[in-house]
Amino acid sequence: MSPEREELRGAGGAAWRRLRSLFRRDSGADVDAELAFHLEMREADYRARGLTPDAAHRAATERFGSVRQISHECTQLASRRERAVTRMEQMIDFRQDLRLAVRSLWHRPAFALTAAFALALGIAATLAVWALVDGYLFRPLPLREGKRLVVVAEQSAANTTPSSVWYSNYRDIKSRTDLFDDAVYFDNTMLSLRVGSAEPTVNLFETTSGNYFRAFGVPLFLGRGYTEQEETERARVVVLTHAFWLSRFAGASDVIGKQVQFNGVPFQVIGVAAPGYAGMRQSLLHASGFLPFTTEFALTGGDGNIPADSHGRVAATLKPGVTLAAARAALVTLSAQERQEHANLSPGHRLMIEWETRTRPDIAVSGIIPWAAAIFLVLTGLVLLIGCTNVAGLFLARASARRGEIAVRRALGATTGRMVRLVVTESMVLALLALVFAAPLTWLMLRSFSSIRMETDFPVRFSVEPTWGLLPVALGIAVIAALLTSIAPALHAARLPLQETLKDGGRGGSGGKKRRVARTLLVGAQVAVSFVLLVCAALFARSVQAATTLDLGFRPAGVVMGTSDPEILRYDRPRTERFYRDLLAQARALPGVKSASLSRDIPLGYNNSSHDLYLDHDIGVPDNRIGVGYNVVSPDYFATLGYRLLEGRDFVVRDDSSADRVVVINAQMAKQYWPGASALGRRFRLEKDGAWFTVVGVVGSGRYTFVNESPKPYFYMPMAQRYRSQMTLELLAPGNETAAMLAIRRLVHELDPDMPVGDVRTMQVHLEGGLAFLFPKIAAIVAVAIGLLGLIQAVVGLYGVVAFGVAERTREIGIRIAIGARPGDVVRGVMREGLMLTGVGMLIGVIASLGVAQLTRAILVGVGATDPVAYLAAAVLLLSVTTLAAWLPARRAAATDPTVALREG
Amino acid sequence: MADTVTLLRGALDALVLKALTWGPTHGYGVARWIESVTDDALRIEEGSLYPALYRLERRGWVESEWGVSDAGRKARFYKLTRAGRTQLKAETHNFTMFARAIFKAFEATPDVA
Repeated sequence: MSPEREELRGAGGAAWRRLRSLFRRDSGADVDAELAFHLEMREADYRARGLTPDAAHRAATERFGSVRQISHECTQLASRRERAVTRMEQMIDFRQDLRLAVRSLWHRPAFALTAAFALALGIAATLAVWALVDGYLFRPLPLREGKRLVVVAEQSAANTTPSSVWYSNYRDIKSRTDLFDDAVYFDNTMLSLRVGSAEPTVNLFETTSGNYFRAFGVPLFLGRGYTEQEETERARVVVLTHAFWLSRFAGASDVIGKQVQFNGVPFQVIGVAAPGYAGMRQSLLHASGFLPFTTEFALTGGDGNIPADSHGRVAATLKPGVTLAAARAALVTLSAQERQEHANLSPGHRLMIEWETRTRPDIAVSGIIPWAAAIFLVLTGLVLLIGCTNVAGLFLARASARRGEIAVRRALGATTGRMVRLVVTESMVLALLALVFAAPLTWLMLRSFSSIRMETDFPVRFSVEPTWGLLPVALGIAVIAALLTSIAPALHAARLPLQETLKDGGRGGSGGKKRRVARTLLVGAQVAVSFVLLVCAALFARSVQAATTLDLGFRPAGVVMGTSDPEILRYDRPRTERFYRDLLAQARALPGVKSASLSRDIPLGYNNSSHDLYLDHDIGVPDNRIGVGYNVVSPDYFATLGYRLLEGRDFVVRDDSSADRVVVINAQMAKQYWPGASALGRRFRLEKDGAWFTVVGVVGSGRYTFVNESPKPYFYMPMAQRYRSQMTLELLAPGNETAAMLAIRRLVHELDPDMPVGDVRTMQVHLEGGLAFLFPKIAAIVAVAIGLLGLIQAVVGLYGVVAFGVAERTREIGIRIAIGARPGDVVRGVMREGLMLTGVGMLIGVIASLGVAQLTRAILVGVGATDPVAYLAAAVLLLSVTTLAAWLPARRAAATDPTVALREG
Repeated sequence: MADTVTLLRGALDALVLKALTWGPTHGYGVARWIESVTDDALRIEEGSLYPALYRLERRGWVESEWGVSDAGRKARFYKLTRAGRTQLKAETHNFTMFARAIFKAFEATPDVA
């Protein structure tokens, strides 16, 4: 008898019964029996001393006192004890269960490890996605006032995407002390920074109003933050982020008071922010430091006064007791007032407000983030579910090996409840073990996610640090997993027909059939869920692919770019214009370059400009004013990027500041504002009484801000008529991209060795790595990872079931081979079973996918939720892998030695 | 009056614990032991033994289980637990102190009725 059997006997046998009799008593009857015994003994005593039975009875009763009262008192005491004891009994039971569970897992390490690993995968995936969701959506910025932070943005009739706020509106918001304790004006800017005599680097800085540190409670590591007075004085002070201080000053503590050069202007370091704080938009962009926004204007060629058209981002601390809804309502009123007061606001201008945590990674795309979070949590939940069904399958498989043991237990009086509890305890122990495995896995997943780097000089980061706060979530997930795992085995344990098992000595008999049905159902479900996951993964992958092949209105292939800004070196306008003229001329002369141009913005880049304009005819809005996106470009821009010129002409060198003002518009704008006739020769103004701009050309529409935007009007101005200091050089050099990129750097540095040139890359890289495709790309990475996890789980499950089926039928297979079945027949027989399972699972999977995929519609770009290619790919992959999973055990079955099989069977 | 009852109850509890130091026995055995060692001077209501036993069990000072008496009858046997032993030590000490104090008080009176 195995030690475990001994244990069993202890649990279910005599000792168990004794325990039960000890505690579980019908208190009243027990008490009475006890008292009766006492009285009888006393009577017997008296009789032995010679009293008559009657007298003995009287004397005994008298000596005893009121039997009724004492019995009542004792019953009361006993029932109270009963409760305490029940608790204790449960404790004893639980300790025993725990010991049994640990033991039985300990005795089968292979089983325990396999099962724990299957669970760990699911737990880790769910936990990792949870950590991402938590980091992006729930965890406030590490500021003292992080929990109260709201973001205010502006919308207009023409531009419904929330965008930055005019400085004048910021003043209005800040003055609303009935709603906000304070409001901070901030933005990001790239500045050239030189530390000591090192090569200058271009870094991202956050420029803020002076109340930033005080109002939000920015955590500091060293030194101090700047003040409102320093904002007014345009003090040249900077606070560095901890990470930047570590990387550039090697963490030297004497950094406070040190000089650094911004765009050649000396600044003083006055502080270092606490680790973990990298600015207001750190879910996407990691700033290198902070400076008063007024000084930035001095750096970029202005006089340091706030320009009239200055706009930035606004965040505020919502007053305690003010709800977001109330603030929203108040801002609607404020917007109306502003429209009255400031004539220069866009039509339909209104202020919107949202919790800071809901505006990540950028307020413009924040609407889809909760969706995406929900979808991915569901997907990882499915991975966990497959893991659970897998382990449940393993348990069931093992149950057949332990039938004898279970039957003995039942015979010895272990109740159904107890059996179920035992199963649940075992699952719990397993889940805890899985948690131990899941911890490093989660860490690994988060690390690999954080290591995603966008191909850009812009410091785009996705860092999610695992924190201890995840522990309760992890425990919760583990408990849920354990409960899910134990449903099927518990039902099975509860229903085990007792006699039958004892009769056939704990060997798998006809009872195996039921169990096989249960396991088959489990695997069918696994295949179905796995199919759903794979379809989602395929859809996201297709989405990325579709997004890159979308008609963007231009042709990305063969285009390379690089961005410069002579203003950083304090060039004035004539010098800047000369610089770009020379650059363009030399770029055109490069071998292998078909065409070259300059533009202020890049399609689907970080900068997107828009302007209000006044049309030349009545369109039924006040002043015929509309807001339209635009770009400032050099001649040949359309040819370089491959925009189709539909009507009229491209810009030419003649379109300079002394010539008539001209524009090129896109087809959408022509259709929308001058329908029915050619737009050539039509005009609009940029200011109410300003100069007229004449349309000289129409080009094909494209996508300008987001890949999934709806077609929008757009126009172009020649750079000679609208000065901008920061421009991007584009070269069309098909087949010579690498050489062209090196040439861009070389040309710029030949013109001025100090000139920073950034974001040198191909248009393809910009599109794939830039913000435009960021979202579909990340979604695809995560979805594919989840899909593969699901696939692994399903394959393990299927393999297990088929292999187990083979093991159970060794004898039958042996007989078949003995009477002449060929290996091929055996393989086919076994495979048929496995593939039947897959087929049924996939059928269910297709139906389920159609449902789940509907959810993903919101975040898919350029691909429908019923994309046949995705479904086909998922099906092919799943089929081929499951075929392999069924074939391996089948081959082993075919190799069965009939003599051995018969002897053992 | 209440004091007397609690005092008695405490004394009785201590006696019961003491009775069980000789080994497990049923309620009647406890009664018999008290009877024999106090020469029947302490005529307690035997019934009150039982609530005392139940209380002691609830406190974890004694344990009980059904067994078979010498006479072959089913009876509930009580056994002193480790906690019970500790408790008995404390009780004995308290009791001795208490008894001494009482004696002193009585010795101080000139006429003892």
